[in-house]
Amino acid sequence: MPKPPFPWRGWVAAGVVLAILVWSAQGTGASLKAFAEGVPQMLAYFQKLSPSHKPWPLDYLPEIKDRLLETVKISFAATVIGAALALPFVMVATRPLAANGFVYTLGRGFLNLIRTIPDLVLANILVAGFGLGPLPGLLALIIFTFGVVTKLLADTIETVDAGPMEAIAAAGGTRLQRAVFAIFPQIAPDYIAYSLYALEINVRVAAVLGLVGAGGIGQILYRDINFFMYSRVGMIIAATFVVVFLIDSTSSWLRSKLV
Amino acid sequence: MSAIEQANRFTRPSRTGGETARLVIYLVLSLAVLAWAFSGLEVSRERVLRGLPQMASLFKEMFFPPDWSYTPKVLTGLRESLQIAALGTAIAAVLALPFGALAARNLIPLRGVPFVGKTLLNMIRTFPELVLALVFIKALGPGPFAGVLAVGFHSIGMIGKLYAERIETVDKNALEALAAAGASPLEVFRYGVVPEVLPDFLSFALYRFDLNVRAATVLGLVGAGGIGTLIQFQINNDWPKVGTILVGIIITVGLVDFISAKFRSRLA
Repeated sequence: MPKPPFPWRGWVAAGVVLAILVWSAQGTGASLKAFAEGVPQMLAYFQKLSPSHKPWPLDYLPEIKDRLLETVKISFAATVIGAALALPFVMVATRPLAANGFVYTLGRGFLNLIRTIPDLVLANILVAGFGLGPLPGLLALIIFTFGVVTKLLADTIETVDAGPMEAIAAAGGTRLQRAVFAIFPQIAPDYIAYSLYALEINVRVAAVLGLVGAGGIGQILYRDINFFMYSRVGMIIAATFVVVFLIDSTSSWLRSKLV
Repeated sequence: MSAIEQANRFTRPSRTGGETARLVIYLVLSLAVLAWAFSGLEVSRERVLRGLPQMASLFKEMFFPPDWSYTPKVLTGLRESLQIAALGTAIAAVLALPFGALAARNLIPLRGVPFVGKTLLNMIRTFPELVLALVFIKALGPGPFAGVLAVGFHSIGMIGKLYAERIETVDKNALEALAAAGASPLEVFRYGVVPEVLPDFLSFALYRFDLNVRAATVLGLVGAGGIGTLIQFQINNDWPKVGTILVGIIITVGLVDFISAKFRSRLA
């Protein structure tokens, strides 16, 4: 007899989930009615953004290009720097390389702590310290990239073949030598794949950094949307979509070739 | 030859020129990207150096000590963020089902359909939640409902892709056996695909819930509800309160990550 797909525990879990969802719907004012009423409003809004409503102002393109370029530059720079910082730090955040259990716990703890801070919250606070502009956005994304890449790398190192490392340790190699000669060559493709993965997230975040004053295309999107410049908003959204989609597809294609 | 070189030679005989060349290419490429990225970017060393002491004093103001009297408000904000994330994830987990099925190569015999399905999912993923939230706010008015829709729509992209990839690994023989026994395509799906993929689907939704809790903490920065509303309110205004908010976010996100990982390891 095959196992029934829904044992009783499944029903209990489904009931709990359903209760949570009803509670959430009440708390957020979400309902099918609200949605049904919202659909025509949304369609009307999208209609205003489209070039068929009013032709898009093409003389606005240079400004969009400059701001999008800033978004792309912030995300690329943050990815390279954040991923580079991950390499030395991973030595204290992964079991095979950490000096002892205490260092490992501390390293992992620090890593988990910075990974819980949402990127835009971080950017928002950094804006208060470093002033408006791309600098706080760049710093926020560096910290975010560092967290993601280190975490993934640390997890990967804990699963790699320990043979080469033990051989070097037996021959009297230091921890650094073990890392550089036994571990890093094994994880090089993963490292690049994780960096690309971080890049894909970074481009999206960099597109909205401007909402908190941290540079990039989000800055003019926020301004134009609040001043009801519908055609400009439509253009910005379309241009952002194209750039993010291109970088995202190229990067995930590269990743699929790597691993 | 040193002992290390010997050990290295013994375990990794293939330290060839190709590997070194790849390393050099990677380094050169990284430096080129950096040089390009920093050209024309308004980032200067003076600003970094000026900002650092400022950050240090903000840090001190926020956490030494945080304003604990603000805790009840923070809890309300966090509750709303969790509600946005839960509802958004659930909506996406359901709406992603048809997308996932259409994008799976082994379910749809027509070759073009899975490709279109996957492209559609990638396109959905492309819009950042906050851009969606902004648009929904303008169309529907501010509040958590706009946040729910933004999270729900954006999450379809990733969940749908994970669904499709999982369906593609379903054992083909079992499906053919069911079909041979006279099951309709819908029955094949119900009895051949669903029981096998369900635990993994739940696991994907839980994973996405983790990400959505993070997303739901920042939605309020643009007026789409949750704890971000309080951040927007108190930043540059009352830093000890911002400290309390941050402590709340860190504990909540950490706990959700932990619990979700526990559940997921049991589902696997």
